[in-house]
Amino acid sequence: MHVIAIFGILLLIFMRIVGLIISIEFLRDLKESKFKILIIGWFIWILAGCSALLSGVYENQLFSDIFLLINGITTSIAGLFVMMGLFSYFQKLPGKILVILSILFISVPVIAFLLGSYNIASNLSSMFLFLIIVIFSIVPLKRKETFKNSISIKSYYWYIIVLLAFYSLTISYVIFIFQGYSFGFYSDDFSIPMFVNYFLGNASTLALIIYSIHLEYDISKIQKFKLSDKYSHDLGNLIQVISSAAILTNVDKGLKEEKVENLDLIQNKCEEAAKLIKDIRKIM
Amino acid sequence: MATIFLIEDDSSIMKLFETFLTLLGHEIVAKAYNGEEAVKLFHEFRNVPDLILMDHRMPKKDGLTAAKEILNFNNNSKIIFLSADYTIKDKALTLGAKYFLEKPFKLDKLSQIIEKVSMEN
Repeated sequence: MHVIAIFGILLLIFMRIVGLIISIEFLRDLKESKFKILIIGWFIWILAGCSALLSGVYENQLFSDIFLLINGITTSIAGLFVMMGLFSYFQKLPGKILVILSILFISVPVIAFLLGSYNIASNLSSMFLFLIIVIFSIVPLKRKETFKNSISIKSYYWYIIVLLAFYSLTISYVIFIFQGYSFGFYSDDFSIPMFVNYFLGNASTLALIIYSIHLEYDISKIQKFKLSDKYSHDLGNLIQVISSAAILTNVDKGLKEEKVENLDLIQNKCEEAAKLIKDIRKIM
Repeated sequence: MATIFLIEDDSSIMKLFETFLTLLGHEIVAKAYNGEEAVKLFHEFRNVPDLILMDHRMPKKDGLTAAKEILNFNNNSKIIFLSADYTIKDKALTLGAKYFLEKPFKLDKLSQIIEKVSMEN
């Protein structure tokens, strides 16, 4: 395995570890279950990088092929989980889809491998991965307005950058495969396609991490807004009840002066509280 | 004095508004605790009430949706929104509501608005 391939894979593993740590932090902070899907995705993606490295360690062709097969399968499943995790910000998806596709992504390449064709097995995994990237990128763009309204404009721009990076990677990969280069570019000889592949792979992973950080910020902002909105609404209703009850009690002409003073005090404080709530709403 | 249709999901607020408006001499012709009930009752009215006091955040159907359906049925209905959802103010007025009063408010303010809106043609 060429030093560029080793360095490229190590850098990918490092960035995936960063992605995993960020997702774990998000889950701890925001308690959103969608981060669990992302965590699994990043973890499988790290395994994919490790299996790619291990394939270069073994001299035995069968072992090397098995690790490359694992690399292909784990990469496609990791892509599925990460894409679904990011997609779930926009729209909730049934867990069944994840299970069915995972089984498909594992079983089909394994069957192809057992039938004796490593090349078909690895190409199937790559095809699954590209299919997932295309599907999960086209759907939000087809419902552009809803998608744009559910995230901030910065996140939207980073989403476009992620798409461009992944599409460049996919298109270049397909071109290189047709030129006769092998899956993963793990050869011992340096080639421009090898450099392009690892450069785009790392760039798209970095863009994905930045995009997910922006999404986390959006979720955190929405959560805070919803909470403030609920509190200000409920508090507004409570003060309405206290203030109205005080006014209506004050209507009774037979009340002692001391009680009237107390009711006036309640009304004044309700007015102050109402002003505070309106000020809070202005800065929300 | 006006005939009023009260729509509010908070029973305490409903009771207090009812007491206050009755004290002022207005007649509460009907009460609804959610938007769906409000629209249903409105369809059954023989005489349309002079004013509709509408909350927004309610179960089953919110105030904006209910107001839209009521106005579609009778364009001359005078709806005053009484809500703590200040963000819907513009939407409510664009829809055709006569006034938006943000909760919490003083009851004096409500009586002034009722008088003002009742006098409008």
